Amino acid sequence: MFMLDAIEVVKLGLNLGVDFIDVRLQDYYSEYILLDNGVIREINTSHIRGVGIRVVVNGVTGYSSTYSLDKSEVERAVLRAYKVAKASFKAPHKVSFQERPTSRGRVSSSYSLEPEDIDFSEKISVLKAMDSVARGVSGIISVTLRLGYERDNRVYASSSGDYVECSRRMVGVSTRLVALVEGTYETLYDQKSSVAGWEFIKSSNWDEWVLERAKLVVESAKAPSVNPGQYDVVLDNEMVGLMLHEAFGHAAEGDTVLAGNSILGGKLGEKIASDLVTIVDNGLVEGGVFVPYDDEGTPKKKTYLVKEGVLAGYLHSLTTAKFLRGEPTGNARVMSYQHPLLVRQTNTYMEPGDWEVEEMVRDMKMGLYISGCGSMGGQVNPLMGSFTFTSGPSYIVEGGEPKKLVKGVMLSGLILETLKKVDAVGRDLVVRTSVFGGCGKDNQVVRVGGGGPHVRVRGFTIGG
Amino acid sequence: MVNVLAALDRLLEKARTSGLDEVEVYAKRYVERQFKVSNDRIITGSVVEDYDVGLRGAIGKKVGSTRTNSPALDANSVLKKLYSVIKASPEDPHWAGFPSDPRGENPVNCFDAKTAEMSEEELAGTLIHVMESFRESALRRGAEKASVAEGSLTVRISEVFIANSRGIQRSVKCTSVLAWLTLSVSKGGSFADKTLIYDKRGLDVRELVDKATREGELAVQFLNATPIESGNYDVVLSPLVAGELLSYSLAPAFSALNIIEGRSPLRGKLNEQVLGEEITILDNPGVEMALGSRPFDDEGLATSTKYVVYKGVFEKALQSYYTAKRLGVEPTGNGFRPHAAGTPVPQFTNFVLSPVSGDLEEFMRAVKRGIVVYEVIGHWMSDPVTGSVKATITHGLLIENGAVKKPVKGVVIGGSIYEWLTKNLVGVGRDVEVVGSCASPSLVVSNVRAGGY
Repeated sequence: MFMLDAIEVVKLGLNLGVDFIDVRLQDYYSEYILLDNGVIREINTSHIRGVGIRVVVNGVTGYSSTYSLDKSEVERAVLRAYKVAKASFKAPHKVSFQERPTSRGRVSSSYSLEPEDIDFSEKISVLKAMDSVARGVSGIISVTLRLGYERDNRVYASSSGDYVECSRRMVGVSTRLVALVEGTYETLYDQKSSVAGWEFIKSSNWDEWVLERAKLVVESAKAPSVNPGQYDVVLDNEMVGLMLHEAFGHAAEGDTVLAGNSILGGKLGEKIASDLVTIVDNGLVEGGVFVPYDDEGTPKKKTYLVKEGVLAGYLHSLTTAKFLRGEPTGNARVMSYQHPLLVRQTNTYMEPGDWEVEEMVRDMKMGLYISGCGSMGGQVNPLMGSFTFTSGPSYIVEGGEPKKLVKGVMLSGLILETLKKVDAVGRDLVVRTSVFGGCGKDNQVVRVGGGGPHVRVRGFTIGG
Repeated sequence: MVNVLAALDRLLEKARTSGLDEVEVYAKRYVERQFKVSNDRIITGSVVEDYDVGLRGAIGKKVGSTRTNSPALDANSVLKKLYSVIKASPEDPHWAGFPSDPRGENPVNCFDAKTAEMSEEELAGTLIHVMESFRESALRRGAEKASVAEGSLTVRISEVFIANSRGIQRSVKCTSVLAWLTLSVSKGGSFADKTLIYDKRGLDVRELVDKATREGELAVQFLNATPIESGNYDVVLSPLVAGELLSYSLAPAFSALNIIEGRSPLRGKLNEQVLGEEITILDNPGVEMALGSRPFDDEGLATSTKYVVYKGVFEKALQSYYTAKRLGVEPTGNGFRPHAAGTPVPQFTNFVLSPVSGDLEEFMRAVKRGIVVYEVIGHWMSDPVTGSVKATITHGLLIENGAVKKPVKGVVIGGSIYEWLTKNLVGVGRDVEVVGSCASPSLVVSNVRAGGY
């Protein structure tokens, strides 16, 4: 796979006299097809390789990377990392590492049909069929369909003796639909992805999937907007994942806590959510992204962030674990070999409770059933404690039943208040991921997953 | 280092003899130096050298592309991959080939030599100086504690190369600087933050320090912020927020591709009054040191300054070569691609909303009951297809009779950007601020829906 031995690069750093060095080799291949109203707008492949290097010199960290796997260029890169670490000596944040057992491993996500062996014409035919179905729905004026595939091979080696190889394949389909009904435009975006091979595409009924969404966006164009205000809501699985990722996950990231930029700083052991709320971050869960090891070679553990409403832990790299006196959790991740490590979520979700969804809605009587199909994502300001996310078309609940479709809404909450308002948690755990995007932080996007059961929250702020 | 031009020449030559009718090569090489901070300290320094090559080709009306970053570019294997992609692709009936450009380049400078020559030690020193100014200005305004919680200073030197089989050959060297720093302040047990964003072609240290000082002075205002009652409010948008909302809810609607494909409400509205008479919008690739300033687009076509909206009238859509040929009009030099192998689509170089009169302070004094908005989140989820604008306020001030009543956060504002910029538009300021590739003054909008408690 690589024409460069990561262990040899580690030796280059040690020969320079660094205290610590680790090396991230990456070989990334992707395919992308975009069908725009029946015409191929884009069809391409990408093959990217490179090496990222971190050194620690007198406690100060320097990073460097190069696209060249040529030995002399890699030597230059190691030297650059060493020099830039020394340039930071003026006001350094000195690091040290939490100890853990040496990591040795070689893991690959499972698949049965290699997507790279499937001819492009077969891939295009999936989208073409979907396009015909969607454009057959009256009111649909624009259909954009994407098929994405990626294979991400990574090698990690360090001067502590770690050596880990990970390989992950992901594949998925997305759509963006536009309806124009009686002079009113409406849009809907959705996607379905899996850590899998071509078998995922073959085993799904994509025509039915896009037909449901086309009908929904047409119906939504005629639907009213919700008046702004506070509502009792039942959030579906996808919305729960978004809420936890934004409302909670980011503020629990160790680097954000360490920087003094999180409203959760100093609150370990405090009650921050209702007793019904237990939140975990887990690198290996059905439906989620595949993260058996992080990009620091640490095995990704199932990490409890909230246990029965009490803040139980933060997400950590080796360095944040040391500073904040926590255990390494396997959450140090990079977007690519070019990037420095950040503490990131993997699959963040709520553990299931004992409510049936229908029971939860019936018991609410009045409010909104908020659906994630068509959501554009979310964002948080972790120190001000404000978070926000959008939904897809949703339903007004009256008399304990979903009565009327309404357009998608923007929801807003405060981290330390919203999770205390959870008063019902469903049995139906669902976790999802995406090959088309992920979580953005500090100009790095990494694949994540999220979800949970249906959850009811009393008094959520809604903007129409 | 890779001899990019020689490598591209070899690729073009090989492509001509490999069964492709046309070919285009886009390459970007860059060096990026970055210092990240955490809690007033430099936590990491990094240097990235990278290279990105995209190759697009066509056989008849079948088009495809491939991307690599390998310096030891094996032209045979790259072209073989490209050929297989193109052969599988159905024909695009509208394909008109790659462009040629008799007009040459727009003489715009996007390179700042002083920035490019700064040493790593100088960059680290500048960052420390800026952080000090940021903290001290907040402490002067009454904060008990102030620290720069997170952020970074990044300087990039990039070279772009474009060549195609119709004779285009362009190259340009540009610099860019991004500083974002979040200041955390506290007083009496309450916390707030304020973010500084500086995103330009060159680093003017004095300008950056002045900006840090201004933002730091604002921070303490947002201590003890809370949501407010739901209702309709007059809203004063700071230049930063106005630019962010316009960039996501309005700017993509001027793309000719979105208009053609039914993803813009401006379809069929050329030369019609679509916004208020106070609104004039330019695509201006010549804004001094703005991030979108550049001599040619990602197809190698010369950029140009043009009115997109003049006094509310939709004057001109933004074109790539593909959309221009499809519509039978001249290309406008607005074809930009998401990555080296991506298909160019029409986008602004710099989105410029022309100034009128007044500024944020004047607007604030004139508000009877409203919100001044300094920072938002979630604005990027606005929808340019419907014109629906939405965002959640993280840093706002409730104003009553021209005076600050209380700080505000956690309030969702929303509506139609076309209504905001016509019947609800109260004022367009003259206080233009350039952030990234967007230049906007303050805006005042009446009767905005706000969701609070």
